[in-house]
Amino acid sequence: MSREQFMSRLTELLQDLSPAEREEAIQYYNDYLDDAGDENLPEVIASLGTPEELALSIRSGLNEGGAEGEFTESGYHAGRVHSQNEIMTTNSADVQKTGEQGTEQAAQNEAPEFEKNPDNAYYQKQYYENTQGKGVYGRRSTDEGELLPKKKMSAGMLALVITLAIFTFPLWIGLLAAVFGIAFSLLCVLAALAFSFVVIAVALVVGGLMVIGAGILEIAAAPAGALCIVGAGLILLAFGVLFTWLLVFFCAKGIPATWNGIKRLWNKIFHRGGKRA
Amino acid sequence: MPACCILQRAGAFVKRRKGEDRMVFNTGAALLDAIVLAVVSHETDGTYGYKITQEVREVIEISESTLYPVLRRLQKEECLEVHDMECAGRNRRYYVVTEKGRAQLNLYISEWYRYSAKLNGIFEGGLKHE
Repeated sequence: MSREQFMSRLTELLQDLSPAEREEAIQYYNDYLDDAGDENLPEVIASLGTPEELALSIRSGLNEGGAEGEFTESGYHAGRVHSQNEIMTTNSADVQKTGEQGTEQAAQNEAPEFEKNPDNAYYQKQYYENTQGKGVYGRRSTDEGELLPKKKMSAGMLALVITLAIFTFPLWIGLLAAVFGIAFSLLCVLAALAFSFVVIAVALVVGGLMVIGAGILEIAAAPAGALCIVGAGLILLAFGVLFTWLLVFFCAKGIPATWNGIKRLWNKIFHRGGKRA
Repeated sequence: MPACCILQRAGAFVKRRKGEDRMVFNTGAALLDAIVLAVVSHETDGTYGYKITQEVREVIEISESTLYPVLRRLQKEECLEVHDMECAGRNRRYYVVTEKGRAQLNLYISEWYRYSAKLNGIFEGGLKHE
């Protein structure tokens, strides 16, 4: 990749930053490549990583705002704001201000929720360990590549999607109705099936018991035939009990498993989708 | 100058394993800030991004893109200030340590001594407690 290609791609990727922030970064890397000299330009460009990686590292600096974790002799301090307050009490107002500025800027990209809540030190620590430890200061990791597509949708894109949703209203309302209808009919079929199974089980048990009763009543008149009838009744009863047991087993295990499966599927489709939008 | 000391200490602390191009110890954000402030504070007239990167890379292993976010943040925190200076027919951005940056660096250095002294105590004098 040539220097021009590299820089124009980088400019493109930083499009949604504030102009001042973008120019700052572009000037820095232009300077950097000037200073590196023409003779080892290819190596230097290669060592900066892909423009995507570089853009990510520039962004990560902005997302930090003024607060970040650090290690001191007394353990891990989740927020720079806190540790600086301890040290430079006279400047605490300034530090607070830079922290807030940082947060405002970060809100344009992916403002971490917890920055608004400094008490939530654990998440801060986790977040900064992820962004700092691997992304920025550490060696380049594969995580960065995965992080890239999760960029927030720009305002224009969002407006477009909403407009599209409104204009295609007749289409998707019809589709929605159809999906709902199919789901409802499926539910009805399932309910009918369940009901019929219960009826079969009850009929087998009750029928068995009645046949047994009839057999016992006849036992004095015709013992041999009556025993046959009782035997048949017992067989019926056995089938009824087996069927009931199967039904109970299915309800106890099968239905919760199906329900969990549906929930998992739901989460898979909508949770991830929600994060991306 | 204490700045040299902190660099030496940092260099000693992140020694490379023999034959392996990997660092044993991670450099935390605060330490990296300290190293950058120290490097910039060497030059009273200021120094520029490429030079800072190369000097830091002499002691710790960082990628070429690591320092921009650090410099930008230190600049926003008013620990560094920038000015453009004409050099070989073009403008180059120079970083200079501010008063606040110097105070912060001194703090880092004293904290580093406290911290490393404690670690040294553990490494060398673990027997005393027995």
